[in-house]
Amino acid sequence: MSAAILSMEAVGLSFGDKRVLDNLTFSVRRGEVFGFLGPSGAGKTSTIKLLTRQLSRDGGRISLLGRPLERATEADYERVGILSDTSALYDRMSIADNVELYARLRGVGRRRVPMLLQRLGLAEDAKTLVKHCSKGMRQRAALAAALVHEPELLFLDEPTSGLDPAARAEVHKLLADLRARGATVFLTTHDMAEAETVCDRVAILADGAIAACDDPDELKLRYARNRIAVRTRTRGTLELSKDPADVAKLPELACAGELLAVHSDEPNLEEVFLELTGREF
Amino acid sequence: MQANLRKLGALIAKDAADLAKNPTMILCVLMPVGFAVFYRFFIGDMGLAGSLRGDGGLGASSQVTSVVQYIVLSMSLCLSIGMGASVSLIYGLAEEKEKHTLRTLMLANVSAEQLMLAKGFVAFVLTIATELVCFAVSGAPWSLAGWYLLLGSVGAVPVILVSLVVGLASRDQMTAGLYSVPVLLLTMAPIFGSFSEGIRAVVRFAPTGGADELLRLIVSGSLTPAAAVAPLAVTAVWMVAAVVVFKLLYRRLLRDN
Repeated sequence: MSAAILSMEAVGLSFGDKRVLDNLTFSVRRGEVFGFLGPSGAGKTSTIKLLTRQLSRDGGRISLLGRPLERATEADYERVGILSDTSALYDRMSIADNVELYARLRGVGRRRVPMLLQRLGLAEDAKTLVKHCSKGMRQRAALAAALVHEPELLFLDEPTSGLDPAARAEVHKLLADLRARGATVFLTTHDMAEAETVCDRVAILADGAIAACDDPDELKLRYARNRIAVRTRTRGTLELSKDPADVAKLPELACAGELLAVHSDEPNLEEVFLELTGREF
Repeated sequence: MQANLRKLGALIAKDAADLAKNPTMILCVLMPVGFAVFYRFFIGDMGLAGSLRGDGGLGASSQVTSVVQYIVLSMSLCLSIGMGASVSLIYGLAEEKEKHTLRTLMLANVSAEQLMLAKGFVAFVLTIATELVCFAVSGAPWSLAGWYLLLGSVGAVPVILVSLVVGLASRDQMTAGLYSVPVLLLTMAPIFGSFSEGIRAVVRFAPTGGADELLRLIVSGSLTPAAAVAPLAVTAVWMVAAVVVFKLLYRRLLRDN
């Protein structure tokens, strides 16, 4: 991991009187999978739209691929792949024809298409018309179209939404492959377990600003509660604080043959998220 | 430049392939051809020609033939442009917007100019191809084919530009259905010019009015430079107006989408 491939500094965005993003500041390092989390309507998709020039910001600075967004060229965007929340393919064309269209548009030829479809579990359905595909198949086909030119930077807006667990696991493996070959992934998701599994770092968006940004494990430690749960043979589960006086009770319990197990009471990412945002998904 | 051409080629191939599988678009192409067949063989040869010979006072059969040919060609020209250049574009763009494929393409680094150029080109080729089939059906001498296609091309360009704007302004296919009606009526208005001189005096100012008037002059063999000035001016004004409207609205509509 190295320098920032994209960054936002004090970025603001309003829709009429409604302030959507306020003083948004974060950066994404080259080669990482960066999770962008937030409740519905928090501004995740708007942030992707700002980064992909679908919206204009009110203020602040955005840098993409090492240069200010205003100076990003068409050639820069050839290095970017985007799967948006509304990405769609042509109904009357087959999955393979759709992905081949994007391969031609990106100038990479059709050679990668069969391999990519295989990787996403679509090889057998390659000739199926998109109008006959399930939502999950469409989502995977749209992902294939976004990936066909092996982008250096990939924006994925809820890529596993609507996928079954097996397909979701395939996408997670694909994200791991992308990271292994040095691609950077900017991922929004509602699935905290997914964020914990695939992301190197996550940013939690609350009220239009970043409430926390770190490695998921670090975040969990930071918001860990000051207590441990001790399972005993005859006294049930005891809750002890991490203060020295309480911790000193552990050897006593062990000597008395009471100690069965000790658990740190660490929150999962979802609990951290709820604590930071104070909201449900 | 090479990337531009590559993208344009891919988009044109996609639009052409999609068109061939789209029942609505196939109907748009078949309708002018069907009307040409109907007018030529049922109304023209059997009905109109007979009535012109009998009651119309047109004694010379060559004159009758030219009137029938003009009616068939005029209707084919206006319908081909109306259906091929207008309806197919407005519905096609509206469908792309409704189903979010337009936005997906733009996120794949395809510029709006490339999209519009590809769509406009396919609509133009479709219109010319339809006009050619209609011409073959009309029974008009092939020496007129070049003129006919030239007039068809000149008449199609402003309609294509206006239709691109109307397509972008349509939220979905339902609104496209509403918005396409005035464009289609304006495009097809010259067909009604043969009903009376009064109607002709008005409809010659329609987007296809200039091309239709030139066609009438050519088929009747009365095309002179002086007679061509007014219809050429009408066509030129529509061309300029369409370019201005396109330039003014296109950026704004694109941003709204």
